[in-house]
Amino acid sequence: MKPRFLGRMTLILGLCSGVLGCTSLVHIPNPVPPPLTGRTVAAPLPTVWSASIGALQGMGFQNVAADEHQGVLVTEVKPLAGNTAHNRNSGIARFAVERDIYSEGQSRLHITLLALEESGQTEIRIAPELKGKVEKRGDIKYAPFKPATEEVSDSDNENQAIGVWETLSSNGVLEDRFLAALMDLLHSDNAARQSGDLLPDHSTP
Amino acid sequence: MIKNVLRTLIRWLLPALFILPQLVMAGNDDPQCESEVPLTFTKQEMAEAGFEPGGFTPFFLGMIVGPRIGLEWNDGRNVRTLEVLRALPYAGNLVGLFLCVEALSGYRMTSVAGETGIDDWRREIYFKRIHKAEQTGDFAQAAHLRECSPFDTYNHPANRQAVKPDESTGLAKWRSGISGFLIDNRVGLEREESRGIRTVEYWSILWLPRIFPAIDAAQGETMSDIVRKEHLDTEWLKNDADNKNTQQGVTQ
Repeated sequence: MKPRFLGRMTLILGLCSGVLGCTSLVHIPNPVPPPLTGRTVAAPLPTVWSASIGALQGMGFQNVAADEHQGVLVTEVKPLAGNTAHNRNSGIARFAVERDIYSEGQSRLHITLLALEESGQTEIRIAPELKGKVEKRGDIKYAPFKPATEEVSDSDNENQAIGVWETLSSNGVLEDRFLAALMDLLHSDNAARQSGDLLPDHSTP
Repeated sequence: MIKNVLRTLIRWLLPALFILPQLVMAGNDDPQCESEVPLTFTKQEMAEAGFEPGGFTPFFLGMIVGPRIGLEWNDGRNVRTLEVLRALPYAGNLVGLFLCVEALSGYRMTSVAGETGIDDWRREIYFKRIHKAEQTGDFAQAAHLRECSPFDTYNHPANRQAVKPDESTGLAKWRSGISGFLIDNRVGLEREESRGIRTVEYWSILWLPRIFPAIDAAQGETMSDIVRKEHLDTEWLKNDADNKNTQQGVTQ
């Protein structure tokens, strides 16, 4: 084969592979499955209601606004500081969005409780509200990560005027954490009740 | 004379290279099942998904395509068409140049694997695990699996202290790209997510030492096992500790 032919073939194959490579980089999958939106538990509404408040408080949400008529619990806005890596690993909320760096984050949970009268069960619907402040769009380098910083106070937020708050999709960690805490409380309630039933009554002579 | 020697070598050595891994595989029937590590699959799970670890394919990939590609095949990570094209004579070098641009532009292996679909089937298995945990009411485990998803770019490395230092300036910014070009594009991409480079991979630049990781791949050894054994994901933590020790030594 002539060197010129080889050179041309090399160039053509290289260009083809380049085009192939560029066209293949279009699909950005979710690193986790979509989060749970609803769950039914075998407990009456009042029990689940009080356990839900306990679970939210256990997760660090101190102020929970309750609308008993509509069966809705709303937590306060939880501020998260640091960059995306810190927000993602802070244990409160992590964001399933790639290629964006958020200097700050916020999380809030809306929980709707519906009584299923016939079966004595309660349906739980969870809707997280996550926001991130865009600091640098299109940055795909990710590193270097800043070290984890402390939570930003309100006065600090006022000083940082740059950036835009953006709604983010949830990766389901917050929802699963809430359900885990809720089930723990419900199970411990059940266990306490059962052990209470079984305990011999020593108060009476 | 030299011709005869080469002819004999080609006649005996090449068939041996292909037959040896098959023979080695014949005695390797130990079941391997680890539930602690989320990305380690059982042979049954792999077989169900039509993936056969070990044998000729990973050996071939390790020798011809890249030393890490064969080992990652056993982990369940597929091969990109571009990576196979890299094995072509002449044109392969151009493909290699294109691939190393990925590492140079800051792409990481996890995001490239996600975008090119080579992790799709094992991601599906991981998703099934999360669904199973949620269905059985084990929400704490489901939350853990969601948070520690290996398909999330931000979970590499797992230890935040072991992050590669900033190499965006000077000659340092070429390191991942060059190692990707000379060894294996995945070495460069995984270096970007702070994974270290094995000694045998450095030797692989001379091509023939690739046979060692290739034989490992033929025996069914996985990259994730090697990462754990050789502490590749804490490479930068070790480097940092060494630097500190050296500095202390100097000051003392």
